Amino acid sequence: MDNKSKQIVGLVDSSRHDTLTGAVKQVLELIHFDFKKDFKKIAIKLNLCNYWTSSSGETTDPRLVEAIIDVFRMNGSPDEIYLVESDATAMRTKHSFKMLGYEKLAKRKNAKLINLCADTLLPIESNTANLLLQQIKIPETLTKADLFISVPKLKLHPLTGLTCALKNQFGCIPIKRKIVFHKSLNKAIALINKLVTPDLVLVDGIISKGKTPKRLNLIMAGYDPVAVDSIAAKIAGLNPKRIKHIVESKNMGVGSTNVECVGDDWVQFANNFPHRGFLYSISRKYLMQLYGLYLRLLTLEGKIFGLQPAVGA
Amino acid sequence: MKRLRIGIAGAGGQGRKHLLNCLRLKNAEAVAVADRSKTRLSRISRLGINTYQDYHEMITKEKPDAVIVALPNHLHEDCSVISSENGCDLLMEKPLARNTEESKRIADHIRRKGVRLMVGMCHRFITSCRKLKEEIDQGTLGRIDFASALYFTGPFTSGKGVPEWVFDPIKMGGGALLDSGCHIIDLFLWYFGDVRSVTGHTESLFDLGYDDYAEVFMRFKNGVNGLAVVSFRSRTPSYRIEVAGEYRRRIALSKKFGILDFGLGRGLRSFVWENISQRVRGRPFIPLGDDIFYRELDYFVRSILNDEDPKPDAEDWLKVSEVIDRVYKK
Repeated sequence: MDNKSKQIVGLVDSSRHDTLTGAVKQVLELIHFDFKKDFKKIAIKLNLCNYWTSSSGETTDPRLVEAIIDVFRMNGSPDEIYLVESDATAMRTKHSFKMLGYEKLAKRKNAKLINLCADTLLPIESNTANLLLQQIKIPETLTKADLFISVPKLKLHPLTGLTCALKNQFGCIPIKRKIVFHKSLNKAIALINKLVTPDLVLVDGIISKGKTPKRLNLIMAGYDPVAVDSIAAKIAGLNPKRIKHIVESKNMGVGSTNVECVGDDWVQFANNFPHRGFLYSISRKYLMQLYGLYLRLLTLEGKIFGLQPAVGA
Repeated sequence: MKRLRIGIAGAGGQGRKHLLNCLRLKNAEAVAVADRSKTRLSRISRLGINTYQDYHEMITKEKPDAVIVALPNHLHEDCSVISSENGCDLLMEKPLARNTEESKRIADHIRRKGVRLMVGMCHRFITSCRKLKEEIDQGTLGRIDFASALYFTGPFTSGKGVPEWVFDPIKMGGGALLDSGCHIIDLFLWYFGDVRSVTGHTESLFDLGYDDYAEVFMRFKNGVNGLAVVSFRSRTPSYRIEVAGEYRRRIALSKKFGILDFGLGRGLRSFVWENISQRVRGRPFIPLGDDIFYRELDYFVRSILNDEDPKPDAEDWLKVSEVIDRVYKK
């Protein structure tokens, strides 16, 4: 994109607007989004990790997606809008689209729901011997879209620390059992971001999940997922330099952590964020890993059925 | 010691629990398991248990003394028929069937074939619920005016994978009221006897073709008013039963839905079970948590071996099913 200014991240308090459409419009104006460009095919990547509604702070709010579609329809004439997500280890999109209100939204807004796992998959043209990379294929919908918007939920994650723009791209890997990548999750996140970088990130921080879900009324926008994630990490009370997938992505050249914030101050959202306690934050990840190991190796159930602890995305 | 030869139809979440408990019980022996998943079966066969992909074949070939039916709801009737024709007693996971008509057909068939059937209403084995029953029966709470129950859990609560049949309203037969509500209705009927009138309402936020939230208000013949609220929508499970008597008020909470079952406690309990208890005591015991499925199976096995009718049976289930049907019809 011509107007790509990778360092700009816009933040808007949606409660100061009558509608979410107004908030989305303002945040896009803040980052100088160029509506003059003709986007015929727009792909919107949702963040649906499970069958929990957006009030849990875990999945993208369909009202925000509706507002995004409205803004792009008001400022252009896209022929096709795709709402995309792939199946996950514990979630099938055909059910989550229906249960979380996306089926109705797609009907209302004339958008198409795409399960990336069922999409045509294109192999990566690469000479690299990277085993991870060899397993990943790219869904065709993402490559043919003129504009690829990622709409992640801002939330904490037990394994990566943070879920936002970079982690949401992990859902572009068209494999159901993505749990196989959990051993090298940070690397996988960085790789998929290198392969499929969103053109625009619009973060759903209306309700965010930290220790508990909490209404933040935050909508954040940016072009650079690394920049967006570094601000998201600060809001969540984390040091972006210690979030491995942010560091890996930065090192791979996905983006920059040199950010200029515009709009509302991120500190006001950080003060409102439901932070986890210090001990919890540092122990959670290791406890989960130990518990998984323990389940598999020591319990009878684990020995027979190879149990794994459930981890939200 | 006589051991009950058990065949398990279905090795999903519940089937596995029953299988593990069969392995723990000294008076029971898991002879065969039937499941469609080859992966699960290959893991189970490592334990020296015969495995089948078809439960018909398992029942006709193995001829077990009893069959545990842990299949999707729509297969319950078929499995109960084939089992009873082969003279197998039955422990059937709830719900017994998808509606009252189907339940009646199963009950008739069981009666004709003269086999025993227990419905897996596991909440009767929760320690606090059993204590509550004792107190109600002994009259230590005084005259009871009101009882309420809140039970928020379901297939979508844990965040683990959900089997495909759960999304099919025909295979499920009902939603939160049938799947979770049956436990509460059964407990209330067990506590307070027959109902005089039933009202209620159901909602569907998830749009799956069945209810994901339900409220049932029951008036019992003994004058107790009971309110049950069940939901599939909750992200965190809740369980609370409150009985308000003239003299005392009692609250029953299940540890099954607390940290002991979802966190480290579950693992710890298994650890103690597998690694210490068996060796030191020579028999399993329940040091932490509230393993209702172990107790349920233990009760079923003892009842069958002692030639007694285990409860709740098909007749008890029919009463529960009638209450559910009355709410659905409204």
